[in-house]
Amino acid sequence: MSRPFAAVTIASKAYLSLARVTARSFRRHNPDIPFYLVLTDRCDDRFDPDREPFTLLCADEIGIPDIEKLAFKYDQQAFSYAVTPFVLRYLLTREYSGVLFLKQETLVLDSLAPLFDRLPDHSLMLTPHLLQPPRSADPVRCELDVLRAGVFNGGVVFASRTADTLRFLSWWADHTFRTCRVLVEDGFHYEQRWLDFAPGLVDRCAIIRNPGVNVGHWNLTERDIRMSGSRITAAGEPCRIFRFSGYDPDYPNRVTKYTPERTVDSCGEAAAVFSMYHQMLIDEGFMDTRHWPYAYGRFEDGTPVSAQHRKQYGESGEQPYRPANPFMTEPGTGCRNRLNPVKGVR
Amino acid sequence: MNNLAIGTVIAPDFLAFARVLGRSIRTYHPDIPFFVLIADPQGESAAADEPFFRISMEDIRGPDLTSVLFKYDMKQVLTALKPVLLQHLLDKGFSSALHLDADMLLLDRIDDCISVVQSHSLTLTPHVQTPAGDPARIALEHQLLLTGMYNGGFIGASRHPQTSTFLTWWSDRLRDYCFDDIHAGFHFDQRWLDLAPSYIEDCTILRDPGINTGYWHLSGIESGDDPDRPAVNGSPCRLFHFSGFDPENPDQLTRYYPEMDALGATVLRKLYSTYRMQLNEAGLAETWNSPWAWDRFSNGKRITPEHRYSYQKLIQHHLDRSNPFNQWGLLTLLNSLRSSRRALRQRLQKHRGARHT
Repeated sequence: MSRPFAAVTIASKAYLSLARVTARSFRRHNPDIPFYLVLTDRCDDRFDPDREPFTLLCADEIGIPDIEKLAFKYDQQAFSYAVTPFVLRYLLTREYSGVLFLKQETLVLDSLAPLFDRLPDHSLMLTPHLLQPPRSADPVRCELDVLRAGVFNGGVVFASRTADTLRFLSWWADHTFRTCRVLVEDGFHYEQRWLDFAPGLVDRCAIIRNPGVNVGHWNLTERDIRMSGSRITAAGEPCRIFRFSGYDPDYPNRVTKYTPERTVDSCGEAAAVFSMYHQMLIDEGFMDTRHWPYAYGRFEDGTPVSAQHRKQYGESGEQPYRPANPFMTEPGTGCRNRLNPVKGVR
Repeated sequence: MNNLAIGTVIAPDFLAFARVLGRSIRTYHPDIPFFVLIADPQGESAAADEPFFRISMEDIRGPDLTSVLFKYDMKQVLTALKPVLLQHLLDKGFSSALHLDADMLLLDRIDDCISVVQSHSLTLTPHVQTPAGDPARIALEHQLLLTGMYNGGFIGASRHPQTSTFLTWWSDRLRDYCFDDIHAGFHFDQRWLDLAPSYIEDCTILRDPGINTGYWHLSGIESGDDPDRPAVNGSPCRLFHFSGFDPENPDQLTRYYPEMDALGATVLRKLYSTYRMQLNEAGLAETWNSPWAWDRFSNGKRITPEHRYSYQKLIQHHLDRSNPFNQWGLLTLLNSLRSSRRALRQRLQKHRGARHT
């Protein structure tokens, strides 16, 4: 059976409150479309999936090959980014003819029907970071940042089930499996930079140039956010998707951790959207879930996996000693003894 | 009026290339006028029987061009002039303009491609059109992340307010930042084109690998139905791009990747030798060594890359906007100051290093 549309986000337990806000706000405005969470973590009975605003899938049950290697190679954040193409492919091949991926830190503010309506005519629909040269004091700096991070934002991706899309998703998955890091000097920026290839690689790739879709810190000043009652507009268009990339509820007056000097107060009427989002996160249990442990943060015997472990493992390439499951600690099975995180400290 | 012109920008050393491209346009599309902007102050070098219409630097000279001609080397100047050429052709009255690099060759009619260009504000061709996973392709894709998704050899533009806005923006960026510093996000004109689908509503991506086929398609190149004409992934090559072709090293596929093996693909060997022959007939030997006109100060001294670099720094800080070609003394002085400062710094570092060991 094939159903038309679904939406999905990806998070580990510590970010469950963010996923809840994304799911609940999506369902409020799009009640007929099912919403999934792919948990890049183990549930560990911390929450009851039946009482959540999403349908739960665990990352290790959606057919990602060598998922332990992926989970070991990348830290919590990068791992959740790296599974994006796998998640889209899974939902498209299993059941749905069109899927919307939303990154965990999203607030849906209006119906997305006008976008889903366009999806059957396209393979992919992407949103650019910029719609025109920035009007900021240093537009070239801003354009260079975008060129090096990727011209399309990885937080909103519409995909429909076409042969082109499935081929693209496999290609994208291969690249994120290999290189899901930030090394902008070498051209890499997590999973996002690979989207630059999309208009060349797939037929009918639509670029959504609607200012109300995917508003975030990178284009906030261009979008002129206005509030009248419960209606929020961006550059005159209904604001449908607002993104809080890098927002930290511990610093509610910071727009994003990426530019700590920018304050929410200075964002005009958008400040109200931030404070609304802040309250929603608190209501969804942010203060509690933030402390929930990350299952891929420890070896099987409970000792922590350090950043140095992950780095060395990632750099070891396809060498013969690479174990099937690097988290294992039984003698002769894992890799911990071969990785030496103490090395390099003087 | 719905009409299209093709144009290219060259220095005099590329005259034979432009002639060969012009003749191939005359063969397959005799109805399409072909314009060549020759970056050279001498105006009379195009004879009446050239297979193109000449645009001279006077026709397009803008207020900042002197500065651009000094701060950039030849390749930078030629690429920075692409949006200027396109806007010039649209201003001349053509409803569409197609920029092709001069080292391209038509192998067949391209009517479908022309009508795509005519029906969109902007038309670009991507380097890769199909996902693949072989090591050579992965290496190429890693390179493209730094050099740009769309090939700068093919840019179609049609008259539309958004197109002019885009061409002005592109031209502004190239006036100031036509650098080749791939790790910082610059690759001549090309990397900026990645923003085109963001900035223009009606930007279309032409995904036929037979249009603008180049060394980046090497893994997909095969023999076509016509023994003289290769194909890529089943599409016959109709517009070939000899990017990086070096007349002094004609057996090499491209000077950008000397290790790439052109001779492995027999069908390419034939195409390359035909192209070389056509270049020779078009006067390659007489034109190839033509000097770049803007490589000397007004006092005859040669402009070095260091001079250009000093000048870039100078205008970055808005220190001097007077004609740099008259500034040999100043720029040479700055260079010597810079290098002596560097030497002093190195000596100090060595000294400090010695103290600590």
